[in-house]
Amino acid sequence: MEVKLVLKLISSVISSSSGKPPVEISLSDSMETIEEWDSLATVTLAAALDSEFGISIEVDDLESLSSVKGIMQLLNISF
Amino acid sequence: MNKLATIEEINNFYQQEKNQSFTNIEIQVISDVTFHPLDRYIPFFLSKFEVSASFKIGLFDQLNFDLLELTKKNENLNKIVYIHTSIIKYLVRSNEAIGSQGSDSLQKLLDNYVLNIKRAISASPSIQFILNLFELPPFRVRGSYSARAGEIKTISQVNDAIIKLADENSNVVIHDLNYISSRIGLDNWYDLNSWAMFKQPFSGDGITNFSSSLASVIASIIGKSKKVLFCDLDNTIWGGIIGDDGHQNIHIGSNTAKGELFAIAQSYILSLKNKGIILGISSKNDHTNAELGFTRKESILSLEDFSTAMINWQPKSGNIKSMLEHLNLGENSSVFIDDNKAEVAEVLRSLPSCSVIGFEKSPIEYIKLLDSLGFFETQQVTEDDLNRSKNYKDNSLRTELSKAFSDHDDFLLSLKMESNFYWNISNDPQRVTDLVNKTNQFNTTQMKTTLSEIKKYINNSELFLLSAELNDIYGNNGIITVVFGMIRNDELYIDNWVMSCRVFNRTMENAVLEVLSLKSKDLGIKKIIVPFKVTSKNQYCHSYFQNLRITSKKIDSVQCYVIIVKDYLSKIKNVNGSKISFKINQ
Amino acid sequence: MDIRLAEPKDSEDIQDFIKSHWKDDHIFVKDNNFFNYEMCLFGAPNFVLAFNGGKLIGILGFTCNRDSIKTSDLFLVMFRVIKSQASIKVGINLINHLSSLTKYKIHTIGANEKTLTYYNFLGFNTGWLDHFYWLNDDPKLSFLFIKKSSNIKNFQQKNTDELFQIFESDLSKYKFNSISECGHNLPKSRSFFVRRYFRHPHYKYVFLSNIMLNGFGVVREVDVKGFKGWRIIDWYGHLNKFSDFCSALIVRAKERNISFIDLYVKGINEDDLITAGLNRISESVVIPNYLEPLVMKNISISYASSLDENIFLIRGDGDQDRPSY
Repeated sequence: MEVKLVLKLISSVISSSSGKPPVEISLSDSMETIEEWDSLATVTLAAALDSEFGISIEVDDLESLSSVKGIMQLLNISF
Repeated sequence: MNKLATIEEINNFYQQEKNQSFTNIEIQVISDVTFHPLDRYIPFFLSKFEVSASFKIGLFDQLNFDLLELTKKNENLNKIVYIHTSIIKYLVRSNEAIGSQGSDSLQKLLDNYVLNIKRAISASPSIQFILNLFELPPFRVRGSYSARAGEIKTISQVNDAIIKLADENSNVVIHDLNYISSRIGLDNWYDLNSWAMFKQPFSGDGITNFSSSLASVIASIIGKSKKVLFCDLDNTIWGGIIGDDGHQNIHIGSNTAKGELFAIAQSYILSLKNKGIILGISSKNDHTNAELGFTRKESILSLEDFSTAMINWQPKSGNIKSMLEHLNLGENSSVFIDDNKAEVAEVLRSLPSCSVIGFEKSPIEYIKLLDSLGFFETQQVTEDDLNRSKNYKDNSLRTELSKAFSDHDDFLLSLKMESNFYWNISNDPQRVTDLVNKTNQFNTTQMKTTLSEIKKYINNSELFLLSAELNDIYGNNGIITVVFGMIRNDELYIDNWVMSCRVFNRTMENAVLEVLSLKSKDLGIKKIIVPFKVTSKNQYCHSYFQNLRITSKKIDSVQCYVIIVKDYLSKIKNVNGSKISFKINQ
Repeated sequence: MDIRLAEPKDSEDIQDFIKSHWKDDHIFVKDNNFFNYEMCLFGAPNFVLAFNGGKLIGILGFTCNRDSIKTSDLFLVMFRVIKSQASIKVGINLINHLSSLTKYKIHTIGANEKTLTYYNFLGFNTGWLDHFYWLNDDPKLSFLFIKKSSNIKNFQQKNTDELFQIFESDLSKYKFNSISECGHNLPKSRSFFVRRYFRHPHYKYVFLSNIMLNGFGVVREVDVKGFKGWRIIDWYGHLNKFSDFCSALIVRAKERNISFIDLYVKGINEDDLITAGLNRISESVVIPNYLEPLVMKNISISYASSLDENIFLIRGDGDQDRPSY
């Protein structure tokens, strides 16, 4: 259940950051597989994760936010 | 319930200049009953399809003669002939028949009618005939007997025969007068005094409905029926505003009475799509939110049923224009439904050929209008119709506008928006509290609050609270924005600023900043500090601040936008003005 | 991942990278001479490079406003990383490495507005340069730039001494020293002024001064459909004399039938500029920025800076005033 929620969150953040309609995000996706997912979207994700889950992201952790799996790990969600 | 047309509208229609670009057709009318005043009403309804008509009206009660004349003259191919009938004529005649067998006479009269029509139809294959189905009688002889073996049975059989004629002859179309008369009720349909005096059997309401319905049949014959339906979402497809209420709380489905009505509306719209009408969405919303509305399991429509959608905060007329371009359809083939009067006005103003339907509260109103205005009238549903949605599917749902409408500013001014601001006073602090806690699209820090906290902001001299309502010519929106925080030396520090998505893109944000700046100036405040937290839902708010072109810096480890009061007051007149006149109550 | 400062041998690889991953017709790719002029100030290209297994995956180009990287404020002018899961880390490492090379601060001018959020995240303050202008009173000279002839006010200018042109050899008269002498935290050196303005391969810059200013302004003339405009590109001297320079420039512009003067700056008090005779940009006028090809639109120029206060940023900083063909 939580997995779906996070996937939807990632999709909507990328959509609002890029200004394009939301695309379907799956567990295997990352900055490399989704065109609209760029550094700016990742940074926005960091801010969004902070707001939604209260997780404060350090600059050093940013790299883990560039893939869905990385995000899931950071949030301690098993998939 | 919307009236189809008022006398005023009809008169105004005739005052206007004839539109040269309309398709003009000539219709020959065979007057089995008096045609007037339909000749005055029908053009008004035809104009909604961009069609104009001239009528060649035959003399009264010369049905057979006229039909014979038709078969004689073999000129005028592709002529349209409308046979104007009503069951009253035949009922009255059968009563006059000598002998006690009134009903049988009715049968005989109607059979003869059908026979004559059949002859004329076969003899003139190049003429397009419009035939009415007969209405049910204004009263019955001996109740339910009439349905089993009396007049009603006879009339039903004749109507079946007429439908059979249409099925067997491609130059025949039917006009379902039976349904039209039922819809307004037989008691309201007939005006027997008028029949007695003028042989014109229909009431005023009857005439209006008749004309609208006949106009839509005429339009459909010449291919002028509408092809695409654009819908708003909030309070049109579902009950409630999804951006404010959340997708779990919108009304759709049998959980609530309201939801039940919207479910009926959704079924109707889905049926339209299944029978060949293209669907599109024009909604002011956040894309993700809008999609969530369709994920409710009670939802009958799904996003995939729509061939195209533009969901953003831009003017709807521009979005509809863009979607039409993409579908390769003309403005005059579109219908647009919205519950919001301002949106209806905006689209009507910019897209005069689009048929716009507004409504007050219940979605059933617009379903009834869709039917009674006959925008999607057709005689048949073809294979093409059944496949149409698939063929028009626009797989790239887009959010960008192809051309900005430069007179959107003019439109905003035409709304005559007025706002009442309340500084450190409030006559509904509960509403203020709810607004702060519910709103997440325009929300700068996501900070939640309580009623007692809000009261503190209002009453404490080191704190402040500004709230505002927005009114326009279409009504009052109530309190739609709240901003509160602290006064620290010569700085105003905003703890949170929220605004309802109902008033996005109306320049309300600019009005708020202008008022804050004016108050700041009075209080000797030089800077307004706006801490800002980026979330997945507040992109509209984020874009607003980005477009203000102001400084952003970290203050106490929080990213903040900094507004220099003097700058804002000198800049706003040039760039970020508001189109709202306001009053500050304090 | 390897991060290091570029060496002379890296020039070609850098230009190839720009061609493949930025724009294949970028002026740095098309005009080697200009690339060398702008980016190879001290022999080697001013780039921080990121390598992964020997392959170049990211570049961060910068300019200096003084005489060595270590003693300059640095302006980011080109920032590009090949998109991958590591992009963010690469980007951050490039910036961190650059920061470590100088005693001073990092800035950038003209970043896209969406990117500002990214800079905020990395700890930069962001904002927008103030845009001011002056239009000639004579309608024959200014009509092209007026959209709505309402709110254009021209204040009485102060009495100022006439400006005269100065040249490279005159620069020895000025001290070019400390921060306290200019009233802000971003002073430039003499060699910066020489190489940036006197040695420019394409643009002609004019240095103007008078005795009262105890400094000089740098101006470039542009042509818009036959009408001449002056852009204020840079300023040397104390900030409190800058508006006097603007006043004097307006007098000179009137004498020479110049249509407009424009200025993008951060750190100057608006009131001083208005008293000097400049106006804040508004929707009533258009002072175009892009001339090749001409786009009749006002634009905004953003900045990001790790400096908190006493910022002085102007059009000559970074790579703002640069040919783009």
